[in-house]
Amino acid sequence: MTALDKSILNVWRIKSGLWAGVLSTGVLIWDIMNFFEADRITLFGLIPAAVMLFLGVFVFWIPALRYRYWGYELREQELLLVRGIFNRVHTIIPLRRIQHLDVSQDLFEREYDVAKLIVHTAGTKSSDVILPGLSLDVAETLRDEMKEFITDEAL
Amino acid sequence: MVDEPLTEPNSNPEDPLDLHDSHDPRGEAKRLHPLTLVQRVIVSLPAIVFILLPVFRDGDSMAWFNLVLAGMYVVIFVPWIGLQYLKFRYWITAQELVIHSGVLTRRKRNIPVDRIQNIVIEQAPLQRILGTAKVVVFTAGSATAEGMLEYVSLAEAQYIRSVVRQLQAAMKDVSVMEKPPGEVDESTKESLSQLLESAPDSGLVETHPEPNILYQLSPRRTVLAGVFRFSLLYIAAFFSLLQYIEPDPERMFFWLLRGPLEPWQDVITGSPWLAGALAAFGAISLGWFSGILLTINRYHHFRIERIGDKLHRSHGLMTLKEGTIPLRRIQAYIVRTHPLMAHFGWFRLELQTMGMDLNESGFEVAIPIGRREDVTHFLNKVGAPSVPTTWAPVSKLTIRRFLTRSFVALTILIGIPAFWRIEFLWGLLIIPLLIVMAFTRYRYLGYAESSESFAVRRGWFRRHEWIIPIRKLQTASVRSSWFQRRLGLATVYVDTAGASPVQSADLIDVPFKLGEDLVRRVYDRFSSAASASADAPSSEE
Repeated sequence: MTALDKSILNVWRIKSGLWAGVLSTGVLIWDIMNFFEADRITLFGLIPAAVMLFLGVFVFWIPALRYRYWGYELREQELLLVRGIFNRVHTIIPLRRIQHLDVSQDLFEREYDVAKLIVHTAGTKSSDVILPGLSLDVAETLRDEMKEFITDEAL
Repeated sequence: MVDEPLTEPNSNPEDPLDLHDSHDPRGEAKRLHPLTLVQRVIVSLPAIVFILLPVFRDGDSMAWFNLVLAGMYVVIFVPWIGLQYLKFRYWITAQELVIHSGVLTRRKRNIPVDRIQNIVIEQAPLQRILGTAKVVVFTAGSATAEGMLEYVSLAEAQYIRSVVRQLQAAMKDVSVMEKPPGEVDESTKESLSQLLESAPDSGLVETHPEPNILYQLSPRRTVLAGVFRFSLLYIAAFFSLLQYIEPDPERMFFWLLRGPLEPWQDVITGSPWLAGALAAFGAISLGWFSGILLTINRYHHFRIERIGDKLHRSHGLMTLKEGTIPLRRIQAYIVRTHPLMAHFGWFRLELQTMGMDLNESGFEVAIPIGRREDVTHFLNKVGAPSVPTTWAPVSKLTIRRFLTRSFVALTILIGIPAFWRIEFLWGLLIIPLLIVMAFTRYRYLGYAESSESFAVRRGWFRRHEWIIPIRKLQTASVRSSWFQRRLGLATVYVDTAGASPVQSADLIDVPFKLGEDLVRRVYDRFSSAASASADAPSSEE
């Protein structure tokens, strides 16, 4: 099994960090608005600090776990994917079943030069299988290798 | 008005493939059946009634506005129907079905004959009276109708279908010579147009082998299929429609029956329990009855037969429906039943297809109701893998998982509210039912594997048996949630094209190791079958 590119950790952390930032700002504003309330439960700043700490652990920890459990392997006739922290999933995608392939990069991924490979099959649950966190070169090489196998086999 | 240059089939100079040089054998572009005009107007009549409703009802001060709308309908809409009719042309060439339509926006649609998967001929009651039919053309790529002819005469509809079939058969012979797609040489074109010309004007000369009836419903079984189908949906729709009717039918009912029924009415309104029970009984029997009627309407004269490598199906009482399912489009076979049906030995067979008529949520009913033998017979005759006779069980731990989940749900739904209202504890009466459910569910869970198929069965009430031909596999996966991992269990899933995301063929709670091995074995069988068929491409597409 090949692990993902390490830079994806940063991308995931930035993305979840942004969400955590929005959430903790909300909590902070709430705390400030309640500053003069007579029946305050706790000291000012205690709740936002706790939330931030909690989210911070998540932002740091979850991407690391996700990274640890992600793996892929391109074999002669199939692509193997292993992923999931809570729900662990092993998937076999026969290369001849690939309908088409996309390599995509969002804003953050572009910054770190990583890309995700999206494999489309005719299946329902697996109609688009996403393999994230590949360096752009690797993603493109993988795509080109797998492209060879796309058959015009009718369903 | 400037006439567009496309009323004649062979006057398109830009066509690079020059596909239009062969005429429709009737020599010209065809119009729809003239009665189309009548039908369109009739269909739009409810709208005009709706518009004029306030005018009829009472002296509404806004009624003049509706009158203006109605006037616009007569002045604009009715001529519009006529224009649409005049601008609609279609014809068949050796390679394509061509449809030109549109009044303001011209639309030219060319549907290659070899891409046509299914031609459905539909006749609603009005069309049956007038002897016309709707032709709906489905192609491989899209789930929705690609072309629609509303309406042509029934003979014309059947003619179109038979010509398309004959052209497809002829093309198959031609394609053996390995021409690059899209390129057709002179001699081929010649033979195809000859074929077109020799096609009869109406009626069908089927060049196909003997039709082979795979299943047909007797009237008794049609009713039976309805008996087992129960839905309150129609009743809800019916009563919500009643809301809009004036005067209130409910009041009218009581007014009509006020004499003899008065004492009863008093009794019922006096006791809320009795009223509730009666209402429930009424709703259930109405739901049941309407289910039967609707089923009869849909499956009257249901018949499915095999013609060559296609299934041909026709059914319907009010609306006749005829369609074709190419065998190779079938992705999986689903045998369904529920405890009541199973108790009397009845089953329903559905075909999971891909990229065709998605009306029945992607599943074509092959046997609305039938015995196990009928299902087996059908599967045999279409070359499908047979229904497994023995099913391997999943892990017994699944009972424990189900009960744990139910008790957590019970605690939340009953335990917590019980703090406020002790009556909620009556809900605990369903515990025995849950235990029964857990065991029945376990008994019915299972899988079967063979060299040519992988089968999964599942469901406590809605029982499904999925029989997946091994070469129709798309992807295979093993997944295990955190709870499953603690018990060493996993879920195996073989994905197929067109599978339902809701009722999916998940094989739940097999031992983890077994799950991994199972997926590996299934995949290995798939890849050897697939590479075998790649070596011999003509065996199956």
